Amino acid sequence: MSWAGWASPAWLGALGLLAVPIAVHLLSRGRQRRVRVGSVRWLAPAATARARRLRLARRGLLALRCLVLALVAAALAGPRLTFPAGPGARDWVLVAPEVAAERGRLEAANREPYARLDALLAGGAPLRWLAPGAGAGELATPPPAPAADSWSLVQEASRAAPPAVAFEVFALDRAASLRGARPQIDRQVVWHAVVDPAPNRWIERAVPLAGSRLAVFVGESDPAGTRYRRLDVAAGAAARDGELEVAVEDGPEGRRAFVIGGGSLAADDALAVPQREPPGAAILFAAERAADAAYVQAGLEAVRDSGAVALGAVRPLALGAAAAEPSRQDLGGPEPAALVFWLSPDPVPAALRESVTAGGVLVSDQLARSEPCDCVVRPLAGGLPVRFDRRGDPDPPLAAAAALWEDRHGRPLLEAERLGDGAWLRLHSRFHPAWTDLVLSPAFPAWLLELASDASPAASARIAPSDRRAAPDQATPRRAAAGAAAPDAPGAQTGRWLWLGAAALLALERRVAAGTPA
Amino acid sequence: MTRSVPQSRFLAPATLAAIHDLRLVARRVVEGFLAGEHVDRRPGAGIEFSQYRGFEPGDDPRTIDWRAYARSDRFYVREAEVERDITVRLVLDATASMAHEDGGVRKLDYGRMLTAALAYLADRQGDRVSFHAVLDGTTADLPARRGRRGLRRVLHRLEGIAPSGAWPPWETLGRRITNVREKELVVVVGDLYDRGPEMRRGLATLRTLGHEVLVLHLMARNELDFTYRGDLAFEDLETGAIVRGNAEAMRPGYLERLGASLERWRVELLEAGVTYELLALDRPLDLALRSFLLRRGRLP
Repeated sequence: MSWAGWASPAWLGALGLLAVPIAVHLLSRGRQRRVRVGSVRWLAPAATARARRLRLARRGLLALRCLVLALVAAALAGPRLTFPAGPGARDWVLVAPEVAAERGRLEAANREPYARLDALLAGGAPLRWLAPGAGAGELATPPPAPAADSWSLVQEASRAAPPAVAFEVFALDRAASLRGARPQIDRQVVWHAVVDPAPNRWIERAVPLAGSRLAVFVGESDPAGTRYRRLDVAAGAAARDGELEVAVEDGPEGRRAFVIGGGSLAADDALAVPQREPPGAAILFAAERAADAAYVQAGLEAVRDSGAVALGAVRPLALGAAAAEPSRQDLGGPEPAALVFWLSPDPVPAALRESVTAGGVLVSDQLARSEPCDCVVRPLAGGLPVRFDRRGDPDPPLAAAAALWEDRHGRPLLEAERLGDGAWLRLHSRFHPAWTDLVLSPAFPAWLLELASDASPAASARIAPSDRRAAPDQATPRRAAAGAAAPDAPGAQTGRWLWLGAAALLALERRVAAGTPA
Repeated sequence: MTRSVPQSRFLAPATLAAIHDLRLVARRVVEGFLAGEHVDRRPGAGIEFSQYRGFEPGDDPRTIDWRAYARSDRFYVREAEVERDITVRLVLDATASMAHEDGGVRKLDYGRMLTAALAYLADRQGDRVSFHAVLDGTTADLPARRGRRGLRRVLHRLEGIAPSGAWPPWETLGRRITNVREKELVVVVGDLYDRGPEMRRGLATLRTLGHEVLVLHLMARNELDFTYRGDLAFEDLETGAIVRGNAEAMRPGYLERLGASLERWRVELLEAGVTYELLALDRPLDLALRSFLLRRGRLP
């Protein structure tokens, strides 16, 4: 039998409770209550043998109480004892296949784990692969097993191993293989983390931009941390940022393939990024609203350039040059426009309204009457406040509109109405600094981004499986808690004996305390 | 002669101590006690008429009722209730040790109630009552007086007493409480914590002079049973001396020494002809009243 630590060492903090009986003992010893009596002539100082016996009994009681508390704390902490295994039983050496396969690349940075592995194998310890369904094998011929969850593999091996056999695990310290809850393993596990010194890169997200360009977000992870970089790449071309190089190629079935180069090569990822240009935005404006249109255009282009949403070209169209009855399909270029702004005192054409029912967002600032207004709204919940100086009411009012923004009197500033799969937003003001600070505020592009996100298709349908490095504390498996151990586990039996001992000592303490004056 | 009295008629000392009107306390105690007592009366020469009887040789001719002779031509002697005009001398120990407390009742509170009840009872019997409070090495005295005014003075004095000082030497005390001209009933109420044989000597002297002496020894329950627990510092109320120790360890020796002391008091006073009653503070006052009446009946 040998000592193997504690299952829940935090409970050892309960030993601090020992201070309580000790303090009570010291206080009761040092404090003498004064009693006024008629005469002390019959009293003799208690320097008697009985008093000495009492003092000794109290010290014994104190020791008993401390022992009970210590036993309870130890039982809660769950001592782990390992018992000698049967004859012939040896500790298992569990090795992740990539540790063996990439030894040439990894050994320089991990000399200690590999030296330990070699020493174990030279000592005759049986080697087992940390892989699904894999058993014993030779280090030189690792099985072609895919990367899997190391926790569950260790748990699977624990179920297969005889009791009291300890594990020594050699695995890469990547977070991707350490997902999920840590298992409760009732045996000693020594974990050797093999560090991969090469940075790992992956495509986190790709967002189509206008002109068949893409904003590619590349994740980069190494033991120092995880970072993201953005590269704007044209389809079929490559872009470079320092040592990082990303190439975008046309893939099958409307997908694009990304090749990450520079430094060490990493695996390519395929994302379902549409190869066509994403739907854009159109701004239809009357001649007197040209300034309004310029503000809206600037906001939309800022949204598009951010790459946060797939938004195509932004097309401003003066109403004189546009079709008499424009529709959403006519305005977006290859794709119907996702966002259409109607900035004109004239009513929104019926054809345009109808075209929105198939999807997209129509925004108008149509006003019939205007009046001064002194109110502040927050376009986005928790965002910056925006001031409105003038407002007006549309004519006729929307039938089934819901007010999104209201002034202090409850009058709407922005109303929304669903039109089939699309929506019609009506601003009771104008996109002009003389009417509102909205167009000058950082809240404006943020609000437009939200509109574009609602109106645009997803940028990429699948996030690439990333392989971030493990945090340092992830690399150490948690030891099994006492409560989770199997009922017949040696550790649990030790805890049971501790509880029994504590109960017996408590009974003894009660008995001694009953016979000992306070 | 006494008959059994239901215990419930007597209020507990702790209850009585809560009543601030000492006269009310005394009346409550005495009336409750007398409801179960036959008052001892003997026929003889006195004022209140009792009966006629025939003149017998040896009778004082002055006792012949001449009016009865005029009516019946025979000699009759008029008998009346004997007037037992005695002095009851109440001596209350009010030294500092009487501040000893148990269950919210001080020894002095108990002694005060007891003295008031005895004074009330004596007044009811038509006795003269004198009162001496022993405190601070001397005594505060009220001379013997009969009647309601005398009782009021005693009760008033009792209410103003606070425990202080120690028991005075007999030379001081004896001069004040000793009456050599007539026999008296001397009642001493206290805890008998004297320093030396002062009290024993004084009590024996009183007895020698022919007085009836009744000693009512007040002891608290926590003194009799030593109910203290734990490590304590015991402070002497009179001397200020402090004895520290564990109560449980002290208890056997204490009880042994206390028992010997009480037994010594009992034997010595018995030998001196002094009536001795040990009263615990948690006991009703009737025991003391009964003993008082018994002693009083011994006086001529």
